[in-house]
This record gives sequence, structure tokens and C-alpha cells, in this order.
Amino acid sequence: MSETRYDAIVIGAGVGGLAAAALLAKAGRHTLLVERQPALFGTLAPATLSALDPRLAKMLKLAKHGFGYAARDLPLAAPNLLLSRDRHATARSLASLMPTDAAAYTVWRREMLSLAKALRPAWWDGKAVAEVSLKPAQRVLLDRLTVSSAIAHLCARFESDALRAALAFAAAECGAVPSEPGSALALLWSAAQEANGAQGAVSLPKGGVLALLRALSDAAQAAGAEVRTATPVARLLTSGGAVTGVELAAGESIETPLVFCALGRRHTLATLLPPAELGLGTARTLARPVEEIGNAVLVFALSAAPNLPAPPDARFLIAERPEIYESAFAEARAGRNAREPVLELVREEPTRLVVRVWPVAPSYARSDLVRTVTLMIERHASGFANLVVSADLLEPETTAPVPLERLLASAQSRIETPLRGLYMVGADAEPANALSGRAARLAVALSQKARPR
Amino acid sequence: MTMSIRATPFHARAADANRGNLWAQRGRFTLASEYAGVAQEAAAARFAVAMADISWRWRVRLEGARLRELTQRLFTKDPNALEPGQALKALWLADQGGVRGAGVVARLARQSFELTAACEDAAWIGAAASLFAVTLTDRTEEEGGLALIGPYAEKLVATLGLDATLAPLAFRAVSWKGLDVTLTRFGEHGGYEIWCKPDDAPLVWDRVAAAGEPFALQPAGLDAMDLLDLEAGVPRPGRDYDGATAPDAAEPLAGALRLASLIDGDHPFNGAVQAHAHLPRRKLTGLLIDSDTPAPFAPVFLAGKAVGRTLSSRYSPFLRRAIALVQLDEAHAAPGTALSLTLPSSRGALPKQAAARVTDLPFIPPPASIPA
Amino acid sequence: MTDRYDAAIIGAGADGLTAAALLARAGQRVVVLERRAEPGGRLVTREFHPGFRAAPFADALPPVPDDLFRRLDLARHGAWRAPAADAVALWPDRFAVVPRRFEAEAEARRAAALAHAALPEPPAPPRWNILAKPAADIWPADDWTRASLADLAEADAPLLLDAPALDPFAPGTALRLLSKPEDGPWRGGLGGLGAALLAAAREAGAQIACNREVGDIRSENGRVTALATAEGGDIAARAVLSTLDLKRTFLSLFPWSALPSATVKQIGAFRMQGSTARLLCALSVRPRSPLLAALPRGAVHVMPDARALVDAHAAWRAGIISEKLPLTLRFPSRVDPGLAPTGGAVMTVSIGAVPHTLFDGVWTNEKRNLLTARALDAIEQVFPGIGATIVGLELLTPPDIEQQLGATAGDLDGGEIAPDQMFAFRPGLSRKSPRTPVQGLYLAGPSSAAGPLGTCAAGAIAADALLADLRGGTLP
Repeated sequence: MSETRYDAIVIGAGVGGLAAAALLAKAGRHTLLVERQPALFGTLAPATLSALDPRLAKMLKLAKHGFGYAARDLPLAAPNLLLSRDRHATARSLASLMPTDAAAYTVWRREMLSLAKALRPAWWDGKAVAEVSLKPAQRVLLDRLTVSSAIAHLCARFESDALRAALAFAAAECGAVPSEPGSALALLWSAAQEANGAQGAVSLPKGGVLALLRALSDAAQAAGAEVRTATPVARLLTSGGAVTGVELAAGESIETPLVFCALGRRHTLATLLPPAELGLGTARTLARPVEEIGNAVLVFALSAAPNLPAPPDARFLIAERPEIYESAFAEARAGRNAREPVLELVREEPTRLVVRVWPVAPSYARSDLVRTVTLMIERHASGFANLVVSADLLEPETTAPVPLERLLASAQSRIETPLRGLYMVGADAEPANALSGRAARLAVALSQKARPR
Repeated sequence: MTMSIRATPFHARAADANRGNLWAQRGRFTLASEYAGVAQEAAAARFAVAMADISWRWRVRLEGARLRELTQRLFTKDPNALEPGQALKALWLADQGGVRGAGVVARLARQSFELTAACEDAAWIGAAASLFAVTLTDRTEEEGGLALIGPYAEKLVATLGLDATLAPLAFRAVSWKGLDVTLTRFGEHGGYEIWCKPDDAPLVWDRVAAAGEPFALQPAGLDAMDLLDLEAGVPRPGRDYDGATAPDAAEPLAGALRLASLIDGDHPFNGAVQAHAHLPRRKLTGLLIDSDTPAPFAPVFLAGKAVGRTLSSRYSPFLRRAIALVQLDEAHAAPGTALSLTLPSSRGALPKQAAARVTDLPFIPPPASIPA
Repeated sequence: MTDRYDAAIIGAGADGLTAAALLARAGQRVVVLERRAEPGGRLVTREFHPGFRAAPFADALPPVPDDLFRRLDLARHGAWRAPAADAVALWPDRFAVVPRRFEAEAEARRAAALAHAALPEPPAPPRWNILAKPAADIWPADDWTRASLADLAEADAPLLLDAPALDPFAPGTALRLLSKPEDGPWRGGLGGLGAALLAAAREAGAQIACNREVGDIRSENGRVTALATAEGGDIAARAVLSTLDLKRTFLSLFPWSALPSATVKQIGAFRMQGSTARLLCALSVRPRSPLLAALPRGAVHVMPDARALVDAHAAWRAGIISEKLPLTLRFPSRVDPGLAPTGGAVMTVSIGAVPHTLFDGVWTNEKRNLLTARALDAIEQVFPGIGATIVGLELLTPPDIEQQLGATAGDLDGGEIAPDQMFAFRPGLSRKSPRTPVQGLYLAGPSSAAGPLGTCAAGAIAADALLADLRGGTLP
């Protein structure tokens, strides 16, 4: 007999949901996590991690639950280009590409990391970016980044197309469209991240991102959170502008004063609430169609290690010119497969290649996608197609591109909702789309402030 | 009192064209106040050609034994020197010298004049006529009139198959493709007028509309015509001054309406002595207001002292500001003089002061006609 | 030319003539140097086929601000304007009148933006961050700057624009509305406005010299001293006001060594890319659409569709002549019959998404014919039979526009309209815009801060700044 009353209910077992459940349970709340899928985590996930909230990792003692890094600080490689933490190697690579860029890159990177560091308190503790005090030169740079597109910004700083395209990837990775105004700020957000102790770094967890999910789930269950899979939520129950419970698709109602939802904000507000709960105007806004795009993860099992022109531990990026982003995103928006998407290749194991594909429209053609990607890789690693044993596709979750507001706004405005007791902890509660779990940490803190035990 | 629609002969066509269904009363009639917006209609009168229903104008025929004496006594210019087919503009004044009305006096024949005016004054002129055994026949409803105004009016008239060679203030009765019409050039804005029998009016409208298409013909309503009057600096009785509604006034003098040129000093018309007397001099001139809000009939100030008042005022889309006719003490009527006035307030807002500047009339000179 | 002028103005277009009129009226000695034989810049109406006249580069521009229009007394000089008419979207089987619901809002924003552009000094950088500031703090710190046209208007935003090359779903595209609503049509086309400005400048005593191309701006110690004309001979001036675009002004009129290298780099990175071609058509009879009762007075957008715009934009980026072209038709003779012989009509076509540089080389005759044919095919669908009535045609591709108007890359907007290129983010201006890093050089023209917002406005702003400096003694 399942219970009908909890202190808190978490909807969705992604990084945000699991982290919220673990933190709530640790804080002594009687917590239930509900997940729509029959299993807690699938078998596919991106390979790399560029953003995990270090404070969350510490609070939940994730290392004790088996989380660790297999490779740290992955270099970024592209045809004829290698950007790594080794400054000399990077300089050599850039010098052969475009000598002026080698010097420009060092200056740019220093400026970005320093400004990103100054902004970290805002993004990590939930303040709005405008409230951070900055040096005048930093403020000028920030002002410019907030109105520029990543590509325009990079084109103004660098001359080599390969470098521009490689760096623009950071903006695409966190959900911005690199050709659109404001996406330059996403470069900064990316530089602010900390993985494995290094700022702006990308790391490969042991066992991939799935291992992170497992560790979070262990932490949650160890702290006493209850988990129910195959349990879709039909709607939220409300009264007087506050959440009072959750109605499951099976018909059962569960009482709770606190709901942490790891689904998209729009989806949650538009479909899980009684009609017009938030007002007719808001309902109209929510009902407007939004061009959603996302990225797909393709996992290739190979019969032998592929012959990629990059060090084995590097992320290999296929995006040769910055214009690619614009045309690919335009095609995705039009609901088509991009003729030439942007690919990030990571060798999780010597014969297991995890490929992230940007951008993918909700109505993309699956089989074409696998073929396009295989052919694109073949161009850079001859013989690749013959090595493919299987190709599995992780269904993409598409979202609206990250708007600039989210990067600039306070955490409160992203996490809180007009409904008391409802907190957002999904990817779009973060400043940019990321698996950091930071929204969950901030949401739990906000809820404790609002309703101390 | 009941309001009823009094249709002009062109009403059916005007109703079709008047998509906004905006109507106003003028004279005895109900006319479209705008068809496509004042600015567009006024622009047509300056760029192309505008067509306005002027059937509302008061028209009376004067015939009788002592016609010569009457007209000399009544009008500020003597029409007896005119040949049939010619006309002149003249005023008629009250005994004290105030302007009662202005109109065009046309000589139809040796013993027949017709007065066309923007304001009725039947009682006054009728009484005068009876003293001279002259009969006054109201012909207002005997004909419909369409005015064609704009640089392409002449080309349009020629395209219609009418002989456009007609001097200003001349007229001609013609047979036009089976219709008897009179073509006149009496208007203040140049252009032509076609007068026809009421039954023929829809056909005339249709012919003009069809022939006008290549010239971007646009029907113009009363509002646009008022704007054109204002931009041309033409005051109108009933709108800018009391005229016939004030029985025997000393004001306004012709000079204060910029109509002094319509007075012929040599012949003894009614009110002549007073009109020439030395009275405090006021002058009609133009006022450019630094605002979009018109200020009709408002006092205007120079350094806090009232120096005159505005008459009609409208927003001029050509000048992109409100303009007004203004009657000023002559000492302060020089172009460029900076004045101020209070704008009417709306919806409970506090009245606002606006700066204004004196300018010569007309505000905008009429466009040159494009010859046929 | 004997001694020094107070101000030498490069370019006798809207801004140059405006500045000349205002400066001369204030008692300054002013000369305007115009490269072409006729003054007016884009404010010209010329005969492109015997008896048919049209403004070659545009039919409608952003409005001349009302107070400036009054200040220049343009109505007295003959600039007469008819009200802008509703635009119509026309398909072979249906039509729609484009809603004007944004016009009042756009008008207010444009006015606010102009007020900003006229600020003698932009606010300090933290306050000038137009996107990070909360709404209602300073203009345009709200969603307009980052909104896309599609957001703003749901479906019909793309219809509001004349043949652009843009992705209406991209953030920042709503900024385009700032150059709306449009002004006019003017009597005699845009040339009517040009003639009035010329009359105003001449009446004020400004000297207008045509056929005088400026080759160099001479400077000494970071201070402007003279203009060197291509024909030879220097014209000494205390100040120079350039109405050319940024790139022309700085990259072609100065030796690069005369400018700070950071400025040169920023101006080099300023994005300017033409996207509009113009097709001027002389028609023997007035065209008829089976759907419309009368020929529209305003713009006719031919089969506008947001998706087609996206595709056209992608093709434009790639340097390809798009299969489907954004087309906007206007019939100037519909309002001013003097522009065509009696019975005939003038049709101008703004073709959007036309690349300045084609991916496979230059604009050959075949390419020009292809573009013309594609445009006319589409027009034929909404005005059946119109092709047979065309008696004269003139096509202006972006390179033609560049050559004739002197606009870099044929960009009629003076630079891509994007949030990082607007207002204080325009390079080449000092903090005291419209002043520049070179003392005595003032920037008006399309690339100045006010350039895309209003016609003549940038010229007036630059003239006012120049006058303040002449009187304040900052200029020797």
C-alpha cells in the first residue's frame, strides 16, 4: 500500500530531479521521486560533463557513491586544430593555422576566464548578473557579449574559421544558437563552469554521464527518498495559488506541499496545471508555438578504434566554418535534418564512440541522421563506416533555444513559479542547458527558506 | 428637433465610396466628412486630383427690373461690367461694415445673375432684392456640383471630353455626351466644377471616376476640403466668422478676413463707409503651432498680453503640426513673431501652453496645374 | 576656393543637406561635396525609361522626425507627403491587409531611440548595457531588442518588412521595426524630399559642389585639417562631417596609420552586407489584380511566407540567388500620377535576399537575367498578364547600388541591424557620439547611431554637435 502524503515530490529522474530528491531526503523530508520511464536510467547518455555543481557533489558525497572521472580536462580537437590546457601545444597548433590567432587566443582566453570567474558567484549562488560588481573593463566586455552573437564575437577576435567554429561550439553546447545575439554570453557561461577542479573544462566521468545518474540515485535512496518508476504525472493539484499535491496518470492522488519538477518549465506550466491557473494571458503566452531544437546522442559500437586525426583523449569537433551553425540551426528550425550538422565525438572506450549531433528538430528523420553522421565522420576518419557494429540513438529532448534572459536572470526567477510550493529543477532552470544539478541545490535552499521545518 | 439625412444628388455614389460611413451636415445637406482619411484626400488634391461634392453650396438667381441697382448696392464689387459667361468674387456687408458673406457672382445673361456662396443668407438678400423689385430664386437643389481640384484637374477635364480652356472665374454651359452641364472655375483652390441636373448626377460621378483613375483621382470629403481652405488661408462664413448669423455687425471687417481685395472702393455698396472707417486694425494671417493639437478660437498672447485670437485650426499633415488662421493686431502680425497660446485639454488633463509663430498666408501655395 | 570653411560635408544626401542647411543657417561657412552629378543621394527620382520616373534605391525611408521637418521648413520648400497606406500581402488566391498594430509602438520606440542617439554623451557603460538593464530603465532595455519578429507578431511580422534578408525567427530581428513606420510617399517620389532639402540648404547659404569626389581626409596630430578631392586640390576646413558609411569613411578616406589600430579593427569587423536589389518597371497600362478592387497605394508583399524567408536568408548567406525571393512591390504613380505617362504606371520591386557577392563569382548578365526572371515570374502569379505590359526595366543589384550610391557592399541599412551593431555599439564613434576618435570629424549617414532610425536625423544630430564645438571653441 503506497502512501498518499509526502513532504515533497520530485517529478522526473534526470540529474536535476535526482539531485533534488537526494538533497530533500538528506534534509529529512519525506520525499517521493516519480519517473515516467519504466527504468530509472536508460543505457544511453552523453559521454562528457562540462558542468557539475562542485558544491552539490560535496554535499551528496558523490565520490562515496561511486562517481569519479576517467579523464579530466579533455582537449578540444578539430581538423588541424588542437586546443588543450597545454599552452604550448595550443600555441603551436594555432601558429600553424593562423599566426595572429595564437596571440589573440591567449588574450581572449585570459579575459574570458577572468570575467567568468567574476560572474561565478552570480551563476552559482543565484544572483542576477546585473547585480555583480565588476571592474570597468570587465563591464564593457560583458556589455558587448550580451548583445553579440557568439559567431560575431569570435569573428571579430580571430581570423581562422576553424578556430571560430571550434570556439562557437561552447555556445551551441549549452543550448544557445551561436549566430544569434546574446549567444556570446553563453561562451562566458561555459568558461565559468568547473569540472573536476578546472575552470571551463570538460571531463569524462567514469562510466559516462550514466554513472553520475547512478551515483545521484544511490545518494537519494541512501538518504531515504522513495522512487517510483513508470509513474507518469497527470497533473498538479492546487488550491489558493499553492501546490497541494500531485495526481498520477493512474488516477491516484498524493498530497504534498512541495513539488520539484525536472520537466521543462513551459511544459509544466502549460500541461500539468489546471487550465488558466496562472491567468488567461499567461496561458496564451504558453500556448504560442516555440521553435524547439535539441541535440541527439548517437552511440557507435565499433569493431576497432577509429582513425580520427586527434589525440585519443580529445573531443573531436566537426564544424569547419562558423557559417555551419547558422545554416544548420535554420534547417532544424524549419523541421528538417541539417545537411551538415555539428558533431562532437568522444571516445568513451576505444571502440565506443559517443557522438552528439547539433541541432536536431523534433520532427527529424532518424535514419537519415545516422547516415549523415556516419558519412561526415567517414570524411575525417576513412574506413569508419566499415567499423560500425551498431549505432544507437538517444531520443533527443528538444527545448526552445536558451534565451539571453535566462543567462542574465536571477536563479529565483528561473526556479520559482507563480505557484507557491512548485519549483523547477530541470535543464531550463539552469542559466543554460546543463547537467549541473545546481538548480536543484538552489531550489531546495529556496524551498527551505520559504518553508522552514 | 429631428436630424434627417438630406441627400445631395451624388449621395448614392458617395455612400458607396464612404466606407467608414462618416457623415457631416453642411448647409442643408448630409455629406461625407471623409472617404479615405483627410491626409490622403488632401494629398490627392496636391499630387493628383481630388473630387468633392459641392452640391451643398447655396445658389440663388437674381432677376428683375432694377437688377443693376440691387447688385451695385449689395455687392462690394460691381458685376454689371461683366460679360455673360464671366463672374467675380465679392462680399456683402452689414450696415455697420461687418462681412455677412462672400460668394461668386456670375452673369448668366444681361438680366440675370447667379450668386454661389458657402453660406445661406436668403432673408437678408431676399429683403434687399424686394426693395429693387428683383426676384430671388433658390437653385440650390436644381443642380448637383462636383469640384475637381489638383494639378491633374485640367488633364482630367480634357480627358472627359470637355473643353478645359476656361479662365478662372469663367463658366460655360455645354452639352456633354448627351448631358447638359455647366463647367465653372469658381473654386478657391483652382480646378473646375461640373454642375449637372440631379438625375444625371450618378452618371457624371461615374464618368469622372472612370476617367480619373489614371490620374489617381480620390473623392474628398468635407474635412479634407476644410483643411485645404485652411492651408490656403481662406476664411469661411459660419466656420471662421459669424457672417449672416449676426444681424448688423461691425465686425469682422474685410481686412480682418484677408478679403480686402474683394472690395472695390469706387462704388457705394452697403456698409462702404463703415468698412473704410478707421477702426482698430486687425489682420488675418497664419499661425504655426508647435504642437499636433489644434487650438481653434483661442486667444493668443505676446509676453502675456492678448494680441488676437485664432479662427479655424487643424492638424496639417503637410506641415506636420497644428496650424490656425489667426486675427492679430497689425502691430504684431509680422511673419516670424513668436506668440503663445493655450491648447485645449482633453480627458481631464491640464491645459498646456504651446509656442506658435506667425507666418504668411497661404500656408502652402497651391501646386501648379499640369496642362492638358 | 580661398580660405577655410567652417565645415566641409561629404555627401549631399539627406544627412549632408540637412547638416548643411542647419550649419549655414547658424552662420557657418559650409561646403557640401558630392561625388555624383546630382545631389540627393538616395533622395533622387530619375527617369529610368522615357516618361517613367522612380526613386532607384528605395521608395520609402524611415520618417523625417516631425520637429526636424518643421525646423527645416521643408513643407515650404515643397516637400509634400501623402500618408503611408496599408501594406497588402498578396497571393494568387487570397490577400490580406497587413495589420498596423505595431506602428504606434514602433513610432514611440523610434522616437525614444532617436532621443538617445541625440544624447551628447551616451550614458556610462553600465547604464548603456541595453540588454542587461531591467525594462523601463533606459531605452531600449526590454524585450524588443532581443525579440524575433516572429515572437513579436506571432505569424505576420515578416509581412511588416520590405523584402529583407533575415531569418524572422532569429532574436534581434525585431529591431528592424525601428526603421518603420515609413514616411511618405512624397510628391515627386523621394526626389521631392531631396529637392526640398537642397532648396533649404541653398536658401541658408550652403555651397553645394557636385562632381567632387573626396579622396582623402587630411589630418594632423589626430585632428582633421582638410579634404583632398579626387580632382586634386585641398579644401581646408575646421571640421568635416561625413555622411558616408563607417567603412567608407574610415577605411577608404584615411590612411590606416592615421587611426588607432583598435578602431580600424573594430570597423573592419563591422558587418555590412547588401541584401536588396531593385527592379524598376515601366508599365504601359495600370496593372490589375483579380483580387483587389483597386491598385494598392502602399506596399504589396508578394506571397510572403516566413518559411520562405528563412530559406531565402540561408541562400543569401551562401551567396546563392534564392528560388523564392521576398518581393515587395510599390506603384509610386498610383499616388503621384506625374511619375508615369498618362495611362501607364511605374512599379518598383524591392527584391530581398539578393547577395552582393555570388558564391560562384560576379554578377554576369545571365545572373541578372535569372534574378529578373524569377522576380517577374512571381509577380506574374499575383498580377496575371503584367509581364506583357512591361515596356522598360532597370535592375539594380547590390553591386550597382554600391557603385551608384557609394554604400559599402550595397548595404542600404548602413550595417547589419543587430543588437551588437546598434547605438553605442557602433564602432568608429567616440564616447561623445557623433564625434569620432579623430578630432573635428563627425559622423552622420547610415552607419551613425541615428542612421537607421530616421531620415535626416543623423545629419541634424551631427550638425548640432559640430555647432556646439565650433561655438564652444573646441575646434580651432
